[in-house]
Amino acid sequence: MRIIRALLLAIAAGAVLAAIAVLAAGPAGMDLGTLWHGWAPESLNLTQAVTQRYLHPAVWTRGILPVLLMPAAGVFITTAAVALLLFLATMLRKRGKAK
Amino acid sequence: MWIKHRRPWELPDSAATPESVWMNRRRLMKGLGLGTVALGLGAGPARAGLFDGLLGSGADGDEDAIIIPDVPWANLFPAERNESYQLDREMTPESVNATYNNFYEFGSHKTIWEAAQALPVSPWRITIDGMVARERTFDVDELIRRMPLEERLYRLRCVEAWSMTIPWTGFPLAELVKLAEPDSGARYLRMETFMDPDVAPGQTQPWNPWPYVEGLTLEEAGNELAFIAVGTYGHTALKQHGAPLRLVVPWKYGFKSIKSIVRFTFTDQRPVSFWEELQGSEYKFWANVNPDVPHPRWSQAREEILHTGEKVPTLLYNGYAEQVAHLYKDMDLPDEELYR
Repeated sequence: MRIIRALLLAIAAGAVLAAIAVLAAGPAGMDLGTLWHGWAPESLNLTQAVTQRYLHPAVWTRGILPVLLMPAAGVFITTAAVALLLFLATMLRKRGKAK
Repeated sequence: MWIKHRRPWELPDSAATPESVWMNRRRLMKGLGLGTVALGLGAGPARAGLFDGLLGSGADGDEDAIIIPDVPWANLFPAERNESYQLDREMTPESVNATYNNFYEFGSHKTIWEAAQALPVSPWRITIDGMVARERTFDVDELIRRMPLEERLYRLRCVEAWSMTIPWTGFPLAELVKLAEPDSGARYLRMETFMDPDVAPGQTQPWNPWPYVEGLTLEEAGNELAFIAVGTYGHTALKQHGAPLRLVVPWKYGFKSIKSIVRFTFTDQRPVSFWEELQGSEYKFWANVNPDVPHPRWSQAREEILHTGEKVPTLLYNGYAEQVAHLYKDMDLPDEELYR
């Protein structure tokens, strides 16, 4: 459990830092896909190809693509918030057990 | 004395695989779960062949994919075959040719034929502009009827290291250049695909430089092999092949053969092609086939004949060196520019 809590904290911290970096470096509304493409276009194209060819085309168009079209900063902030909430939930559970 | 000069791309009859043998081989491989095991992973003109070996390749044809569009120029088919463009290689079955396609406007998957049915191909307008005597827009039906249609058998070599042999129907690109009457200062022909994200879901991805653009030098466009295809297998082009009209330049990797063209622009500036802009470190403007110049992530020395699964050596300029090598002989370009 300690490892999971550390992992959640790391994800939250990483996502906050990523959001700050995105907001500082580019237009506030930059979508996640454009950010990914600017960073590593090969991996984005490969992810699309593998997902569409070997899972199902709809997994990309209906599942992944809508997320990639969201503002990158928003996705990171949401990820940080979710990770933080999960971290707090595990902490509360731990405290409850201790009582 | 009659001497037969074998062209570089001709294979002896003894090298042709009998149909029954390849059918059985294919079934056996499929039964063993051994599709096309290809080494190297990549994207771009996406290559994810490693997974084919685990999950089966998409090279088995589906007759349902042959959906011939109902268009006004359908009565022009079949056109007479130009016997100058015969091949000794076995023709790819139409069911395979219709099923296994790349058309990035509709995605990176291998069921493009289904997605591409959403494309309306008639009416279709073609614009010829830029450095020409007179900018003009044609209805595609009018344009096709002005052109001398013929059938040619060409090899197609994909940068993903697979190949097909296809009977295209169309007209020489040189005829379109002649019709356009380019200015003496024009040096390149830029071609552009339709842009309609409502029809083509791939175009909703703003990080890709849509619309798809390709370019040729006017010398390349005037070469006898450069062809505008409006049909395959004796009928009008299927939507997944880039109906109503597409480019076919068989000495270059397949991604140069732009589909569903709406605009031909004559210019003195070298166009930046779609893949060059998207992933310029791997896909260049020239993209001539050369087995000795590997893709950065895989070899181009051999190719898989898609419908047989057989691996054969790739030939320089895809076997068309005799017709096109002179276009590049005075170019002072590194191999990585000319052959990727």
